Amino acid sequence: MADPTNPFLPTAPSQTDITAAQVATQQLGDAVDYFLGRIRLPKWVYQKPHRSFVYGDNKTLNTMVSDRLDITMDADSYFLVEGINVQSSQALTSFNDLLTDIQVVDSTYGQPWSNAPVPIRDIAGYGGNPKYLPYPVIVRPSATLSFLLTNNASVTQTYYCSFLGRKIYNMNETEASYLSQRGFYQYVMPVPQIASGIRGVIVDMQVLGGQDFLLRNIVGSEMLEAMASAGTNVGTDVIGQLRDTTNDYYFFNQKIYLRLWIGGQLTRIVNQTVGGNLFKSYSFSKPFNLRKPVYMRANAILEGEFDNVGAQTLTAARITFEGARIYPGAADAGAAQALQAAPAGGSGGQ
Amino acid sequence: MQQNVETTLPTPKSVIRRNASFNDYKWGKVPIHPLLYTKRQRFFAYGTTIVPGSSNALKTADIAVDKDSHFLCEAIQIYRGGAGAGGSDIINILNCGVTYYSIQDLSYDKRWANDTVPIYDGSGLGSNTKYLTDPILVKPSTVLRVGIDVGANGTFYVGLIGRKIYGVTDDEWGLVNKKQWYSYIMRFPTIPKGGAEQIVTTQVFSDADFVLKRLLGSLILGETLLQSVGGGANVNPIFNVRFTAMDKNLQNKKISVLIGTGEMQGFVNSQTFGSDTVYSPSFGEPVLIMPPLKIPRNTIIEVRIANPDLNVDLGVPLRMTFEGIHVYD
Repeated sequence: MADPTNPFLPTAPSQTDITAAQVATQQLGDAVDYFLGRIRLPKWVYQKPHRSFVYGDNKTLNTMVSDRLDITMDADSYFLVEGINVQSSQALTSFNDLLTDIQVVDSTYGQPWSNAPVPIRDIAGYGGNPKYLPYPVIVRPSATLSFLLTNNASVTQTYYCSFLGRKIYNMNETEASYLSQRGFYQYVMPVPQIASGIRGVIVDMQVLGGQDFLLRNIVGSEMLEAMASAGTNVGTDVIGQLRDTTNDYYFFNQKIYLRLWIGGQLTRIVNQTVGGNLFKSYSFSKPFNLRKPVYMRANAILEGEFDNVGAQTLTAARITFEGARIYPGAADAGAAQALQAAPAGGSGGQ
Repeated sequence: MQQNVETTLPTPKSVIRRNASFNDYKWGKVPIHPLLYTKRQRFFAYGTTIVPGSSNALKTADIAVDKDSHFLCEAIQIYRGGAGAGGSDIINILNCGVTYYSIQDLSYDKRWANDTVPIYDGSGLGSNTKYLTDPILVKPSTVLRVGIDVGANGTFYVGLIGRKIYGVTDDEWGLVNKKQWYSYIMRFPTIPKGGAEQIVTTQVFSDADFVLKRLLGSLILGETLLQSVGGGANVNPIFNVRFTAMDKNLQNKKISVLIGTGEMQGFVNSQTFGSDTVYSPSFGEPVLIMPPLKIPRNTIIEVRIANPDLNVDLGVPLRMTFEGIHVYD
């Protein structure tokens, strides 16, 4: 029954009106939604037997050392990675844990989950919170997930690492391959040192060939620290613009303050003494979220242009672009199939 | 002719989820009108910079919306930078001090609040982006006049974050704007010690009903309570909200502003690690009115506030923000 107050809305069918063709269209619609990142998972995944599970392990690294921590999945099930959590033995007593880079590698595909090592808080959550992935990743039975850890601090650290998610049973290879056409991914843009008054510093970051990228979040924990730590009493002001050169797409109307688009300021531990007791408190922060994600094609170049309009030098720092890698044809095929089923339709607006 | 979308388009779950009735949209159960999802659109943000000086007067800057598309404003963010200031809010989030902002849509002379808004009420607590409960659709070529009112020097960076939407007609814009995000600001006078209550009122405009969704009092909580009163002593005003047209109270009695207007953002502390000094603003949340409260037009919102605990008058400027949506006929 149509809503008489709104001529723009389509007629909503009652339950008895749904036909087999509409069910098929619905399934194709789900595919469009999945590959374009509008839903976390297709509905059929939830119909499989599944249960919450966590894989974890720890690794101790001396100062200025890189090493890997391998975690092997059980053979009995697929594993859907929905979150990452990494804490350091230094986390509760200092900020040395922040001087850590992490890259996750999935032996299932032999491909990392980022194009370069990522600052720890950009990939493993702010403060003591886990990072829940905007797009989960399916991992095959007996696969090995590896944390590539680099300890840049001047102290030895033990890293406690985990993947949070669920075991999924009775999934077959075809289904896993289907889900694998979309997965969590991060691109790191390294911004060089910029002296006060220097303008027009351009940094290019290219989407890998063979996969599109759906940009959902921007995180800049390291950049926020660089801006805050530029001077003794004042931070430095850096403004920037982003442009997808492939389609001449600007993200902002002009260069705007970086803090407007790189997320909330990084969480730190705060010492407070109440009575005779020392409390350590985390605060809370969030990434910058693009409510309307940006779809970037394979080989697209994301160009960042930066001006340091502050009075202090900005040290080199990284910005992380987070979203989903989508393999070619997945979104297009889903849309094409759907449109084939309904040839008179228009654009979906993604 | 309007096509039957149900049979001509694939129906992704996302579309079905958004396929709410117009009344659902109008009364704020759905943030974005479903028809907007059918339009071509992309992420975009408009920004500007304001240097208000120390005159304690509203200093404005205009943001011109591109003429190629409508702009759906989904978030507001304002930061104070370090340039020209004795410290930026990246070091101390409270460095913004007693700052107010305003936004005015010059295309039809519409403000987004009835008074200037305390900065942390209107642009996010802590350092996180403030997402509007109900985004505002702005016409192409509209000039949005943003104002900052602060009694100290500094550079303020303003961002309006959302998406460009193409192909929206005037009729559709009119339909979508049957609902508009809005804030009513309540100014308080000096609140004397001893518990004598002050009664402050504001009236919902006569052309629209108001749906109250959030209550914020960052100025009371963060800027005055713990800093400016009694030489560092705490003070704990209590208040009660009443809607006279409905003879309805929001609370059973006067309650502390600490529990009635949202979580306080924490102070910023610094720590040193390596050669760097790092800082920690924390994050607060407003009080959510669940379910949202429909307040008919012309209703008088009455706040009774008292200061029974501290032995000094609470004379600093206090404001409270009633945030929600205007619903037009």
